[in-house]
Amino acid sequence: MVDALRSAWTVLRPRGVVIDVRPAAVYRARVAVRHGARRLDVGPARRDPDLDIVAAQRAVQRTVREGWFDVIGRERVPWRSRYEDLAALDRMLAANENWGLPAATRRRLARVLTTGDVIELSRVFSLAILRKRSGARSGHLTSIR
Amino acid sequence: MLRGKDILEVGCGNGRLTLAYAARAGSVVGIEPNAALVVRARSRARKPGMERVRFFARPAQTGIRGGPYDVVLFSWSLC
Repeated sequence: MVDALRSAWTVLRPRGVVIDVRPAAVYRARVAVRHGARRLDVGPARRDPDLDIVAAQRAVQRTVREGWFDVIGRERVPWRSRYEDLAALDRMLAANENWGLPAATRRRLARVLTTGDVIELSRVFSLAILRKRSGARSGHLTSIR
Repeated sequence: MLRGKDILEVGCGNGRLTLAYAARAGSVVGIEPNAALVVRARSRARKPGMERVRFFARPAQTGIRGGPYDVVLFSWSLC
């Protein structure tokens, strides 16, 4: 990721920006059931920190520290993923080993879920906006020009 | 921030996010290492208003080239 960010620097116009969007490394995910306008919180989902995402965020921090970019914006954005039934949610969980559904949440979900309901998973994305710094402001960058 | 801009999207997947903003952009190049996803992205982009959107099957390690761009968008990209 560090190399990709450095490559991005080379293809950006002066004062161009990098926008980095990815799931937040750490957050508390919640499961809910939506039935029409009604939303019922069911319980927590287990989500272990994703080490690849942690590494990517460290790469962003490193390139800022090295003087390639300035951070001009950073935000955590709430997001809800929707699943049409428990099988669809289970497919997502099976594809992502750092996710899981605690037994208590699964039991309650099975109890409250009715036909036509949608399962919602509350997630958080992180958004970082970085502006390209000019090579003149950071001596070591001139070597790649 | 994206209106009229020349954008390189790294890790564009099947183009779902790309096509959400592409109509406002000046031009978009999307790169994605998974060739099957690039095929789907190209298919999705076959509609009016998407003439300035191009997708390529390239990894980030070699695919970040060309330009110059106003914006490089890393969308859930771990490179």
